Amino acid sequence: MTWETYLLIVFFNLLSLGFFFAVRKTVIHVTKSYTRIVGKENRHMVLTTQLALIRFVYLATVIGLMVFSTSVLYYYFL
Amino acid sequence: MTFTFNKNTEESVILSIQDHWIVLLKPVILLVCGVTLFVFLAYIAMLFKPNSWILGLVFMLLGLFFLVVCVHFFFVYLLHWSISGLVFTTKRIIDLRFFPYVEDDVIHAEIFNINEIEKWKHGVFRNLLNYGDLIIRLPGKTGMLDFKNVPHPGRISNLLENIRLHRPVEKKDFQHLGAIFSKKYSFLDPYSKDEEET
Repeated sequence: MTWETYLLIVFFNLLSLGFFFAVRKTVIHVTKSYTRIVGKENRHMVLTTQLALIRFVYLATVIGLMVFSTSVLYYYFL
Repeated sequence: MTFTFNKNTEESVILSIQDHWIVLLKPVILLVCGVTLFVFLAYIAMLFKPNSWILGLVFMLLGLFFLVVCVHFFFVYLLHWSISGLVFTTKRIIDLRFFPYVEDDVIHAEIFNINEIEKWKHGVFRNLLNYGDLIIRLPGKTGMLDFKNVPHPGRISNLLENIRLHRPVEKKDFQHLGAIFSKKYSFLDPYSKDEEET
């Protein structure tokens, strides 16, 4: 394994994480804004269990992608 | 039991709905295409590896890049579907449109100012799966609100029409909508508050 391998692994891991955190930031911002619109007593209409589940699965998939891309590159450079 | 809505009614949320699940077909196809493209490019990369290692690496990196981007956009579409929607209160319709990075629109429309409500359900799939478009015509410059892929547009347009024309709405109509949307969508019964007070 050369330093180029490590560089590519870090690049793909950062790409996956970067996408996730960029979306996470906009989602948090917009859900706060929509909660103000519908009122705190109706915030369950914006912050639904479905949304929480999607965010959790997204995080799990991003971690999975990081592991997968690392394994693929490691295998290719062997 | 019936209830009539008018301008003096205290504003409370009646119903909150999302687009029909059929809109999720697009991201699912995108994800399948992304995974297939990765498998195809990885296969080509492994074929090239013994003879041209660099060319194989380029194919492998391209495949990984497409996979990461497609998975990411699959979740972007899911979040768009989950957050966007229509909120109906006893006085207003609030249209929340959100697409990460691209769109963040909020439209408020007074139900009592609506000129005309149209329901469109064209096509076999739309009639089979019971979804369609709701077109709400408003006075003045605001013009028209067009809501695409609304589930059960008939029931929702009937409810809006009844509220708009101050017609009595039966409790069972709300309960029926609540039964339709309760699994995925939140529903508040405006009667429960009155019953508690009485």
